[in-house]
Amino acid sequence: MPIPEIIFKPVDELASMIRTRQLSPVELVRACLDQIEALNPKVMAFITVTGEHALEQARRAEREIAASHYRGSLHGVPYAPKDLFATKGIRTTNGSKVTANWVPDHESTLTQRMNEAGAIMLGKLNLLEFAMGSGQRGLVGPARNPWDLGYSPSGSSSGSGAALAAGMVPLALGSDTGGSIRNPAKSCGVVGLKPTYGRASRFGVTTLSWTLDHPGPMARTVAGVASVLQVIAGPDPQDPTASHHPVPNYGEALNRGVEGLRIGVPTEHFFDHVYPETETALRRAIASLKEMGAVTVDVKVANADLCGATSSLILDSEATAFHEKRLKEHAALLDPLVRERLEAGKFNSAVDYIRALRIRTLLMEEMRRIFQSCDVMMLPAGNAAPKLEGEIVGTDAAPHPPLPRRPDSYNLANITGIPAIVLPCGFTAGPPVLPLGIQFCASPFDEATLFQVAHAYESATNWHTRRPLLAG
Amino acid sequence: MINVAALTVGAGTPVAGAESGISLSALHNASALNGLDLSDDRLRLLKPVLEQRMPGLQRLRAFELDDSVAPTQGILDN
Repeated sequence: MPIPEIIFKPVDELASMIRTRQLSPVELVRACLDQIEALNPKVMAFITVTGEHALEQARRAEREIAASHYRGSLHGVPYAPKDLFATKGIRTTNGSKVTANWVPDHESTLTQRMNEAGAIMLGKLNLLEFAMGSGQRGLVGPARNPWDLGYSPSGSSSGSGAALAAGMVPLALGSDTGGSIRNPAKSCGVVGLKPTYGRASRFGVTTLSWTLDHPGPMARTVAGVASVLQVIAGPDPQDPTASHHPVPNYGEALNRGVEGLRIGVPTEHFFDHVYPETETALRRAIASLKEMGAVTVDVKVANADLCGATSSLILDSEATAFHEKRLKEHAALLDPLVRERLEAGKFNSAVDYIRALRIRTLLMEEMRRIFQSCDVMMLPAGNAAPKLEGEIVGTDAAPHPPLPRRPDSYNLANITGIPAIVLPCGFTAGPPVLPLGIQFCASPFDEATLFQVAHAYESATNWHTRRPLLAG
Repeated sequence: MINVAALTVGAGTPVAGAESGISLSALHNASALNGLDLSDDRLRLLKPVLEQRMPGLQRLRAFELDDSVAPTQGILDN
C-alpha cells in the first residue's frame, strides 16, 4: 500500500489542513494506524495501540471543528506518549513486567493538556524499563531504529524516537533524565527538547530522579516541538516544582533569524570521544549558522568533567530511593540492568549525594556565567546510534569488546536544569546511513531562543525531510 | 552508610591471587550495614559495577567545596 504523504507532513501543515477541513482527523488517524500496523512488528515503537479510542477521538474532533469549535493548533493531530506517562483507564507499563498490567486511575498532567488541546492519543510508546533499563530487553523487547533495524533508536524514549522516524505519529512525549529525549532524537533523526526543569509538570510521569527528570516534546520539526511545548508548559498545582514562570508565544520565536545571535562553542571536554565524522557535521552546522549571521564565542565550562559522576550519583541515589519497595518485593521481575543499578545505588552515601547537589549549585552558577557571553551554547549530541547489541546490558552479560567511550553530551543540561534541544545535522556515510544530531542549550526558561536558532538551521537544511527507506 | 572504599581490605603489597579493587568481604559488610540482604552471587555481580564508579566518586570527593556552597534542589525560577 503506498504510504500516504500526509503522515510525513510537518505538524503546522497538518494543523492548517485540519483547521480548514481539507484533511479529516479521522483520515489522518487511520493513516497513522495503518503505518503502525505495517511497521510496528519490525520497529516495536508501540507497546499499546489504542486504535478504537483514537478513532473515536478523531470523530469527535471532526465534529467539533465542523461546528467551528476549534481548540487550537493540536486539534485533531495524533500524538503518543512514552509509556511512563500515566493515562487514566489505559494501561501504563513503564516497560516493566512489574507494572505490566497497571491501569492508572489518574491522568498525567501533560497527556491531559494534550487531550484537552484536542490532540489524539494513538497509544503508548516503548521505552527502556523505568527509563533506566537495558537497550536489549524490556517488556516487549527493544524498539529498533527505523534507519536500520539492527541499530538502536537510543533511549530511554526509544519508542518515541522510532515512532516519529517511521511516520507512525507526528508528535510524541518523552522524558529526559540523562539524555533520554535528546539521544533518541539524535539517533532517529528527529527533534527533541528537554525543557527547563519545572517548565513541564512531572505529575503522572513515573519518577526516575526527582532532581533530574524533565518530560518534554519530540517531533519531526522544530515547529512541531514548539507547538507541543506551548500546550504542555505552565504551572501545575499537582507538581510543586512546575514553574510559574510566564509561558511566551513560542511560535513567534521561530522566524526571528540568527543575525547577531551569539553561539557559545565549548573548547574543552564536550568534544572528547566525538567521532571525526560527527565533528565534521557539527562544525559544518555551525558554519551554516555563521553564514546566516550568527557569531561564535569560544567558551569553557569550568568543572564540566564532573558532570558525569555528579549526574550518576544523584540519579542512582534517587532512583534507588524511589524504587526501594519495588526492589525489595519484585527484584526477580526487573530488567537485570535496572536491578543492578538500584542495588548499586544502595551503596551511595548521603554525604556523597549532598556533595553532588553542592557541585550542582556550582555548575548552575557556571552556566549563568556562560550565558552572559553567549545566547545559546552548542554541544555535540553524541555519535550516531550504536548497534542494538552494543547497548548496555549490564554486567551479567558484559559486552565483548567493551563499549566505546561516549561523549558526555547530555548530563550538563539535566544537572543544571537548562533547556536543551537536539535536531538533525547530517547523516553518516554508512553503511548503514544513520542520522547525526546537534544540540543547543540556553538559559533557564529561554526555550524561545532555542527554537529561534534551531528553526533557522532547520530551514536552511533538508535533513528533517529525509525518511528511512522502511517508512516508505 | 559506610564508605565501601574505606572498607577495602588489602592496603599494602597485594598478595598474589588476591581480589583486585573492592573486596567481596567489604561489600558483604557494607551490604549488611545498609540493610541489604544480597547473596554473594549478587555481590560478585555488583562488584565491577561499584568499582567502575569509584574513579568518578573519588573525583567528586576530592573536589574542594567552599563552605558557602549549599546543595540546590527543586525549581529554577529566575
